[in-house]
Amino acid sequence: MPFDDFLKAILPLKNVYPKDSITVVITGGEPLLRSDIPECGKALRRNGFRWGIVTNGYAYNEDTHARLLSAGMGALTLSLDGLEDTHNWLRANPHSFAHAITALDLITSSKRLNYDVVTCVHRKNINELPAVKEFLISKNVKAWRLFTIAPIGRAKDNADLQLTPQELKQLMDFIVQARTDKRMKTTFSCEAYVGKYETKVRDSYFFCRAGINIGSILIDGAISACPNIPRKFAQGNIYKDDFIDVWNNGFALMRNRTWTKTDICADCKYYKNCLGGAMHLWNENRNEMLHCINRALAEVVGL
Amino acid sequence: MKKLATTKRKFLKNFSKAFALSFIAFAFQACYGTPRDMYDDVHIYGTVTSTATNAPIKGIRVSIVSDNISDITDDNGRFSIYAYEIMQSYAIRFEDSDFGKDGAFMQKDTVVQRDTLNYSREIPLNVSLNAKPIHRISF
Repeated sequence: MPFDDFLKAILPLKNVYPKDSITVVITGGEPLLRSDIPECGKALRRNGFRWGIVTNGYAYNEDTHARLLSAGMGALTLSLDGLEDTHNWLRANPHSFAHAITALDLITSSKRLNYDVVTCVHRKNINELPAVKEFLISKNVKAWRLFTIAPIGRAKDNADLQLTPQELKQLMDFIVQARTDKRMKTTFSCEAYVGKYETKVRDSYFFCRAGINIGSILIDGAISACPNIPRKFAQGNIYKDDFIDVWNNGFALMRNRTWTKTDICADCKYYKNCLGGAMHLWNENRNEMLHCINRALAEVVGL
Repeated sequence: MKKLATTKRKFLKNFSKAFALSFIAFAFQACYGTPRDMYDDVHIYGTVTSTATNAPIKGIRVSIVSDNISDITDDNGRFSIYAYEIMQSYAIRFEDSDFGKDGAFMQKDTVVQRDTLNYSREIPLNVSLNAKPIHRISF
């Protein structure tokens, strides 16, 4: 997508919302595959938007770092999926870890950046989380966010990527313990309601923000919320719709979630706590919740 | 009694402030994507020209010395840097990054001091550079 198309679509937002109140997060894929990200960012900042990227760090070197920061980048999330062998296995590239660590050293050296490191936890890296934690602390990382891998996309057919209920409990217990270590802030992402572990694994209660305070423009111009929710949930397209009009008058699907009271959520006594969980865990026909972490945890810790 | 009421009022006021601030932090921390950018920045921008010809110079690296931030001037000699706002002054270096392509220029260091009375977040800075002396050698 030409950057000007994106900018044109979001520019009217600056007349509606206060300067600096909106953060544009460029994700992917990998945003740094585009060589013009610093120029894009500079244009965003010039127009009063804050901006950041989610990156695997592969193309992040000293020059990139200097150019992104000078363009006003203020936020960054770096993916690191384990120690060297595990990270490289998941990324299917023997050099990924080394590149990510180069990026990590640059990122942690910045006084300007609000950053965190995210780790997708799966069956091959769950037992090395304590070692990853110590490694990140040795690198002066201040914030670490842990995710599980949703059974969508390529992960759907890879059993090694899905934690068992016992391993989910292991992950929750690890995070609870890690949060007592004040050297680095460890958090479970707000990807799902986690029952008894709510408030023990993150600062705030589970709340899926898709379409509430997160909107997105996808590569084909589709207007949606988080990029990992089904494409059928798109609310319009910048090439034929006005973004603000869609934001103000669309998104009913995500702002009224009564439709989620179906499938395993239909008679769940915890429904009022999670309102059907995260949008990205619903199938595109909106009649099946793909995965409920609370239910899986309940198998080992009880509801 | 009056003192107690004042203390209580102050406590409640401070508690409300703290609560309000923590709510902002919680409510706007997106779960998908990056942490929220909570810092402010300062925009330092301008044009680099040749002292001798007044023509804009392309390819000059402009760096904030203390913070590993830099930009390279474009075809019109323009640069633009968003710098960390907490600093009161910025040491800025101008150096030729494409030595010789459109003439060679001397490095220049300067310090921009922020006006403490007017905390502007927009700082224009136009700089001219001297050409490096050329020694002609006859063969």
